[in-house]
Amino acid sequence: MRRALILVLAMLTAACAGQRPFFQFTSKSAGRERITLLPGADGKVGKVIVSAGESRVTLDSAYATAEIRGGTVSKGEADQEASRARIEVALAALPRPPRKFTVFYQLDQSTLTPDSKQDLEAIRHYLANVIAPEVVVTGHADRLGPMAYNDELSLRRAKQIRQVLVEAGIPGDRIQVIARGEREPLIATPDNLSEPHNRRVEIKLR
Amino acid sequence: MLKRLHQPLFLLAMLTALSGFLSSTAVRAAEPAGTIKVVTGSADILRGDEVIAAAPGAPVLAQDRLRTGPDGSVGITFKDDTRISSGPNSTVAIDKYAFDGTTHVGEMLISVLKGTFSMVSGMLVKHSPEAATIKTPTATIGVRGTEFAIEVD
Repeated sequence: MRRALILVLAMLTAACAGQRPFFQFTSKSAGRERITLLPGADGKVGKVIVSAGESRVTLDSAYATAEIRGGTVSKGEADQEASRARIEVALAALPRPPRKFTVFYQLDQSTLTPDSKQDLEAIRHYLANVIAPEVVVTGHADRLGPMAYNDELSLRRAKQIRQVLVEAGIPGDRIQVIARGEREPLIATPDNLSEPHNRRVEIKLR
Repeated sequence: MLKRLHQPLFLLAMLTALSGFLSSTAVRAAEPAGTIKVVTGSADILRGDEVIAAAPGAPVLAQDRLRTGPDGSVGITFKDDTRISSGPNSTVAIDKYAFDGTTHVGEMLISVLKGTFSMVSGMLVKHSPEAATIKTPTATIGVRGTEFAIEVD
């Protein structure tokens, strides 16, 4: 009984050991891999660290390239046009960056300022044409009046914007409503002070 | 007497713990990591044994795989604003994704198994530079920011 168990264990170990070189072989023959660091839309360049086995390469300049062959990474030749062409289709499929809009309100009201009324019209139009939009609407108030009152006021403002967006055709379940009351002012003020910039709703589109 | 009481109680506790574990994993699995925003040509989401045609607005979950055909491409925006895309003949696996919208803490592990891939990192990497890792068949990429592309021939 015990001998049989040892035999089975030995066979299993042999089977595992036998498989290991097979896996290593396939991963080594998996062809070439290339990583290219790209400048962002704002022109800024980030940083990525590429490692394979014991080798390691840091990319921190535009179009810097790392190539992995035979399980080892090395800095590659940077050919801007060629690398752009190879990844063109993938790059074209990158979703647009998230955007943020802000509208402002009249004192102690959920009525927009005349300027913001115009802005909202443009925002509404823009959002209505976005594919698969996800929106976070965050209401804010200035520090005039009690905290609880401002919570309620900022919620009223956010809900009103939500309604406008739903009417523009954005599905309600894609709109998240948050009320921050007077907790997150754009401009810091002492309590009980009115500040037009803090009476606002932020509309974040992802 | 005590022993007899002990056994069913222990069983009950085990069952409660097990059901709690099962429901918590179910909830975690169901929470979307991101949303498909762009699709061209043929692109599928592979979820367990299911094959779902990728369409704009469809949720992407942790452990999903994204596969594109010869004419396909797909683009996704994650909860932390990280954006990724893949070009034709590509397979990309979302191995891990977690992001807390309040603290911005989380983690991301993506495997680029085949084809072309591009990424623009978001709030996750901005908050914790070690939080996002991309794997290829032979390499590991630590993402400190922001925009880069990968090709796996």
